[in-house]
Amino acid sequence: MKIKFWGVRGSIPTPGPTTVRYGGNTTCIEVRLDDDTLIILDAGTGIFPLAQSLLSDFPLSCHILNTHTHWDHIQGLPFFIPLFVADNNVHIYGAADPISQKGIDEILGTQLQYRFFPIRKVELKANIHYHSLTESHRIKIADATITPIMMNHPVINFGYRIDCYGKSIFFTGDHEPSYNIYDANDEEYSEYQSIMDDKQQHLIDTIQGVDVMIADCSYTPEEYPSKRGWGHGTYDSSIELAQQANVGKLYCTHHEPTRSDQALEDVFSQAMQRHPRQPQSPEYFLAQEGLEVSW
Amino acid sequence: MNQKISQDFFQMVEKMPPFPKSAHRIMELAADINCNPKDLVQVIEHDPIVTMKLLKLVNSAFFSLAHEITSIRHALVYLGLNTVKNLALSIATIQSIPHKNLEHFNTHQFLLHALTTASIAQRIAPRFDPDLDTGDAFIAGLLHDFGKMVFAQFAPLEFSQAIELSIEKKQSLHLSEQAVMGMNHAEMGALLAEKWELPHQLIQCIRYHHQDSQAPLHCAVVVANQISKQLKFGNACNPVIDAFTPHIEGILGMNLSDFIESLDDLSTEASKAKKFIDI
Ligand SMILES: [Zn+2]
Ligand SMILES: [Zn+2]
Repeated sequence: MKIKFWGVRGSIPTPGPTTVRYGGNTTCIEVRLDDDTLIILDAGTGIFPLAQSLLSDFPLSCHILNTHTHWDHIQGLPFFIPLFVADNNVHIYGAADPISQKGIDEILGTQLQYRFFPIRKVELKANIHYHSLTESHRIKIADATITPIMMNHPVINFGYRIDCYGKSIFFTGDHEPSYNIYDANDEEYSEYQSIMDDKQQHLIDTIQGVDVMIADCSYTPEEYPSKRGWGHGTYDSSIELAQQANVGKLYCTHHEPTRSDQALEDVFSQAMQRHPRQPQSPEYFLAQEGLEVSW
Repeated sequence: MNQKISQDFFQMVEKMPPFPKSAHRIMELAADINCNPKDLVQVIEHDPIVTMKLLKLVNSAFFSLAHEITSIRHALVYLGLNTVKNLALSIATIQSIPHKNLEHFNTHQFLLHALTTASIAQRIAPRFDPDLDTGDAFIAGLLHDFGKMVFAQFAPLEFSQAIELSIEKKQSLHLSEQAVMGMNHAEMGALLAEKWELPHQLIQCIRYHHQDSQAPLHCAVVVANQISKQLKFGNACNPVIDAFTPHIEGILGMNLSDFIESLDDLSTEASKAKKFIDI
């Protein structure tokens, strides 16, 4: 299995001299199965340079797993060149919208045609296949099994576990660990806590033992209180989850857009000091544009 | 003009059932970005019908969650604050529409028109402003014709005269209402919305939904209303379908029929709306 980070920034692209090392593109991760099947996690602006690297493979077949439909996870989609070339097969997967009861085809199909710029349907020459996913249904892509799991974000966000040939990876998408809405002395506190604990256990069980976990680490614990409810995690919440689920390697991503390369390394090394590695604990890394990991 | 009727308008509005308290509170909480989730849970839990319908919906095949959701708190942990808030608001508002049939007025057909307008407005809202809250567009679409409910309830004969007049003269229903009763459903709906203390932009949207406006929310409702009528989703009792105004045609870059043509899968709107009525 191989992964390559094409976009690691959260919320908005941040090109410029202070982000050249870690990169300014928004979320996009290339996953290659051992048989070379191409799975793409999210279509932030990083999907544009990824598309450039695919031109020699046409006609191609690929699978885009969308965690959620916030801008920074879809804004590269209309620039994904394979969509415009006949004989390519592009499969797009994502959660349906429970409020309007619309499938991913309607949500992204409408976006593709109208929200960005006037792309006419006839210009999308590839064969585009939409697949609406629900939490309780695993799907197969080539020989891989994909397990979607509901994370916590202001809109429905699926985390995806990918298992193939004994290797595995998990991507959170955007995720904020739930917090207890009651005060410790409210009578509802403990009931709410136990529901949260069940949900957390389900998450830990789903991620259990993956080789690689890529997680939303937008904030430091100091920044978090003023951003509570925005739907993003911290270095510490992701490290804790990685430890509980016995993952091999944790890649911290969705970097806060105002953080320079230097600031990013600073907050990361502070996180490492708070969580010194024990013999069995996961290895921790900062996700970086262009970084490839294979195993 | 029927003098007696025109004097009674305010009494009619007074006699309409109140907007459900829970929907009202949820709307207030939804508008407040700092809303305390505890309050939201409490409001929903105190409305057994909204609670029951919300649980039924989140446990439906549409969600297919890995776990059965057994309480509102449970739903909050699994689906998050925002999703629960939006579901509760939609359910509570639909609850506010009386389901029983009246003479000369098919409530089910009316509901279908309201719901399809709501869902089409929500879908096309980003075309007029990418940042428009699509939940607002849904509610505005849902309530735009509520004035007709008031007429059907309290002036059924005059209302059916207005409908007949519209068919006969091929003129828009609000003009016939004006001629028969000295009042139209847009104004009537706005009076009701004022009594219900709904948000100002919603009241404006209801009051002017047969007039031109630059407001994106307003445009979304106006266009959705015409699409719903054109495709005969439910029945709005209005035989006239208005062409786009130059303003709207300018924004969309096409006329009504081309616009309908360009939207995929509109036919599913009616079947989805039916599902929502039946929760
Ligand atoms: Zn994001
Ligand atoms: Zn997001």
